Amino acid sequence: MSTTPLERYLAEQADLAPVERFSLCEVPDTGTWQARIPLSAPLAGQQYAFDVDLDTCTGCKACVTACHNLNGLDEGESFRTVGLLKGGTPAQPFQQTVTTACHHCVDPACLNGCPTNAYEKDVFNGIVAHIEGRCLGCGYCTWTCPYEVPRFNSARGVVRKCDMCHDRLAVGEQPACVSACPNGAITITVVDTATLAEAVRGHTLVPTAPPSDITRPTTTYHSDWGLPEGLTAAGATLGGHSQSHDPLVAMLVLTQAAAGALVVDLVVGHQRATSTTALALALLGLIVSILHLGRPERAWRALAGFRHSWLSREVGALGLFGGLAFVAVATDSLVVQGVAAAAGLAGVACSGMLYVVTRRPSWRAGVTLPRFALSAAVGGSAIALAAGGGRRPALVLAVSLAVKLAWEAAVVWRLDPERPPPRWLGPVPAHGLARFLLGVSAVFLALNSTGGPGAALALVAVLAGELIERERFFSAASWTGMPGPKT
Amino acid sequence: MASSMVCGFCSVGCSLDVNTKDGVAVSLTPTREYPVNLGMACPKGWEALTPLRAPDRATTPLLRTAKDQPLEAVDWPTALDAMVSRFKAVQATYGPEAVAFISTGQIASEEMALLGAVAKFGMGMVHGDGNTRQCMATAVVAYKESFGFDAPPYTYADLEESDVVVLWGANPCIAHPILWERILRNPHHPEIVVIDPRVTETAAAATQHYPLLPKSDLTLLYGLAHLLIAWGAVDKDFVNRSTEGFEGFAVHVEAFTPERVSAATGLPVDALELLADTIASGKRVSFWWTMGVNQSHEGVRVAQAIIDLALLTGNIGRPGTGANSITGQCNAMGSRLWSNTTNLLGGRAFTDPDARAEVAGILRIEDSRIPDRASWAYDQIVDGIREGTIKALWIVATNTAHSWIAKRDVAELFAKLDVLVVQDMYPTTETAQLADIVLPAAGWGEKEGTFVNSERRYGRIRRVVRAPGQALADFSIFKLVADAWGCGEMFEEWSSPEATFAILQRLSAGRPCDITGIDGYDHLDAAGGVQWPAVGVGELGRERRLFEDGRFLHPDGKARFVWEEPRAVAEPTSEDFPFVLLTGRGSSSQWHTQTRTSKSAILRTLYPEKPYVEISPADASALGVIPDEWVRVCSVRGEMEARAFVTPTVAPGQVFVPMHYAGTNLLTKASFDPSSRQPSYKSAAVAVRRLAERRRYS
Repeated sequence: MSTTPLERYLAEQADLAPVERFSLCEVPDTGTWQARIPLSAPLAGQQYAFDVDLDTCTGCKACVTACHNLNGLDEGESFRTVGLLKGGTPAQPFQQTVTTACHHCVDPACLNGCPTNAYEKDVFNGIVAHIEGRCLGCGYCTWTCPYEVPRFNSARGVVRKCDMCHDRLAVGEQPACVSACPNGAITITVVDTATLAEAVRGHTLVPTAPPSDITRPTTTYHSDWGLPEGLTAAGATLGGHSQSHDPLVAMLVLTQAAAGALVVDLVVGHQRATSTTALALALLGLIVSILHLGRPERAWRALAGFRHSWLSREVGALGLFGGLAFVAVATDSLVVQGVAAAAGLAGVACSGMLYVVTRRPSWRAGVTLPRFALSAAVGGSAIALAAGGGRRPALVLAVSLAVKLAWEAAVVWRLDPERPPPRWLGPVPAHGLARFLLGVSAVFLALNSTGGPGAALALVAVLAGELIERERFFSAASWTGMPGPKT
Repeated sequence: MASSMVCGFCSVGCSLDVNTKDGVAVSLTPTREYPVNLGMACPKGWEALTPLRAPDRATTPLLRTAKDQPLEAVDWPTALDAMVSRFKAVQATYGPEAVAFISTGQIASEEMALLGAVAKFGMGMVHGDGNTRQCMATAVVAYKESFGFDAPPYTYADLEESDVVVLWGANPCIAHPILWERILRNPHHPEIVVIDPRVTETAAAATQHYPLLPKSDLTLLYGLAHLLIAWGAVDKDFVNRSTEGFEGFAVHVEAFTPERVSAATGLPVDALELLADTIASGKRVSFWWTMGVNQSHEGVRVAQAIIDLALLTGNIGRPGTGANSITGQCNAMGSRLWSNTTNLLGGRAFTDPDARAEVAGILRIEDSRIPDRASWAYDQIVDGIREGTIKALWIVATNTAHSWIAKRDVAELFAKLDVLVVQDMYPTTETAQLADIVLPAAGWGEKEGTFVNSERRYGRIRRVVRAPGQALADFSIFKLVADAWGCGEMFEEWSSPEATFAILQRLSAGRPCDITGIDGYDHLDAAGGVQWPAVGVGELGRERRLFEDGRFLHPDGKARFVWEEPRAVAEPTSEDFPFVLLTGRGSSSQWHTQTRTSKSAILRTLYPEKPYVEISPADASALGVIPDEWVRVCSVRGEMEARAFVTPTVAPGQVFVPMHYAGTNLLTKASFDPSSRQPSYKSAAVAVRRLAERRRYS
């Protein structure tokens, strides 16, 4: 059978003939190959740690691609990143790339925050591993970790992170990044945890990194040449924008308003319409919150970390609140409503603590707890006014909202000097203006109505304003992390 | 199963083990046992398979029936008929020279030889050049004049054996990370000296850095020679025995006093003295240069001045020495010998009748088939299009519409062509989009052949991945074109890449680049690649350098000192355009015009997606530019928008823009080294202007 050259070439093109054939070459031993991992496993009181020689890291980023390839990670995914510090003086300009992965902390914040106990710190080697099967994709660890190590993988709906290639270490092989560094800048060492925890006190891993006191990270960065003062990161950190915060915004505003409504209702005089509306909004908030999860079908696991995770506690308290509120409405019992209100307020407190413990400056207690408490008062009185009506809830709303607006003006919408606002909008961003217009309108409506359409309108304005305020709580949050790359 | 093959990005020539499952490549790891990379790779190498899987691969030939029509899928016979009939029509109207080709350093030696032979011997073209003009033409000319043949003398082991490593206009930490690995393996605690206007990653990691003013290299080199001669640091035995022209050179550099050199380079006199002393006191000094030298208005003389320094200090032909050009593309070195563009096959001259007769004899073709003059260079071909003498162009595996210097009018120029054929892996490149005919090519990993790396090492590439659709190896495409043209019979012996390799071996016989000692492709595998020359049978050393006997490749066996008075750059800065624009590689994860590296999601995370301009804090504050704001960078020719990356690693008065962004070559100035015709990408006058307020932070 005769074939045309074209047919022959096309057939050839599909004919793959890979062969097992290596070029045999003695690799000259300069000692660097064997020295990259410890000869023996950690003893009691010790653990494995990354060690980075900044002097020999020149920013080729082979470690990032090796991690991606050798671990078979998803498209664009790597557990190692490389950032850049720059600075120095005109006479002595300076730049330093900083390769970073999980620091396998002594006191891992990812583990502490995890509601499902998806993190385990190996008692023998100290490696902090994440068990994907337990992860419900809440993304809370992406906030508690000051280094932004756990990353939300939206395709899988779970968080993933570096496990120091413990499978490879266990059989005496180098982790991917360690083996791939042409310059041997990354090695695995054994550190004494107690000594290390003491040594990092008051320090940061590298300039611009968050304080090591938070989690006591075990990675050592060292440079014989030393780093000059005043270095800045070339790029910002990731900013935790991998997941939408909208369900959380809605959940926080609704549950806080509902909890507040049960309290206000008891104070200003019980109206069944108020507790019923509060129950509806609470349930709506709780249902919406599930949308935030990457793996909502695992939501039932969220209580597992009750002993250490404020998120588990929040889920527990708000769940209890929802159940008790239901009973309270069903029985119309003021006693049950009182207990439900207490559970609701506990939930609001847990919500607040959940953010406070991340140690992010914009979520510190003084900014978060008053915000949530005032939100409960404002939202609660707005519900009471719209559902039950009357002069007293209107007054509570007018006063609490005025206080909250004043407090926000002073604390929340104040310009962050480190974050230049979009200038063309003037000193206050558009959503800030919207928030205050809504707030002032709601105060005005509260002062001029004791029920009816005006009160309903006030509730809408209050909830809309609170949603804007809460969206800002997330979008303007300060994020910490290792130095970022050029962006 | 794992197959070892040389990487298809840069000229370092790392070997990668491609792991296959059921016959298909699934992953790769750098080859541990290969003498070049010893188990390491840069990010591009790690991701070498990813660009093959891109969704926008060319899977079928594309044809534009008229200039205003879109490209439409056609079958191979239709595309080849169109190409051949349109090329022949052009030749019938305007003469055979009116059809030209642009070759590349990205395809195998066998392929580029076949392209050059089919185009010139079969189709009657005279003018063909390669994208290698943009990266190493300068080194070629410098070596030819100084050594008598284009012969980079070194082996990578020299990086490990020097006590002084001088990196001139080279940033291996980013551009050639595996060579930096080799430097760090040097057990002699070498002085690592970087000559570069910027504090590059390499400069930051070096032991000495000399931030000279841009393009003052030649003056600095002559100034160093002046000091070395004045101090008596000349290797007189070597100079007398192995070189010509020292006396004239010594007279020439007399005028380059430290004061004059200091004024021209911006380096203080004591810095010049420290640098000269470092070179003088080194026992094994190696000089390495890259694009900072090659892409220059007087790059050939700069490269030769580096060679002059190596010659006068006797730092050549011994371990750890050499005047060493690190080349750019994976097979730029192959193209220097085999592209049949500037040089006739095997580093011969088209103008030499004996050489033409010899090649005709080896290939069994008529002498008259071989043009008796060298091709126009790339810029002359572009000018030919402008002037209407080139009417048809065949571009293979390069992206002219992105990479050509001062490219603003490239699209316009290509529109003037009667026919533009682009042969590429992707129909989406800026250049393919302008084509009348697109030929779908298989890429690295989908075809067979050899690459030659910077240290003259032949290594194999293999077919371990199925090319998509109707895409074919460039080799097969050239064969089909030859058949369609009617000259297929001339290339019957070129039946496969390996058969072609045997032809190349015959063409190399008796020449400095002799590879007759290589026993087929299997030998390349077994030996971990083989450096040229490879003559005779038996064990060839794994790391070999040239000129160990002190004999060079001029007929008298002596190297030449070559010098010339430094010249001003084509476009000095002015009041309106006060900054010198430096261009170069942005990161180790980006390759040239990014047609391949942009296809990898993980690589995309490793560099800024949007263009940026590096500017010094002093200049930024004088302009009122805040870090990260968008600015406009303008030259007299064009402008681009870029984010301001404010960093003291760039000196005041200079700005740096990576070459990978499409806007960069709107700014560059089309000026060329007169000897090598290599474009001077690293010198243009630009201004930086702030944008309207609302656009600064978008």
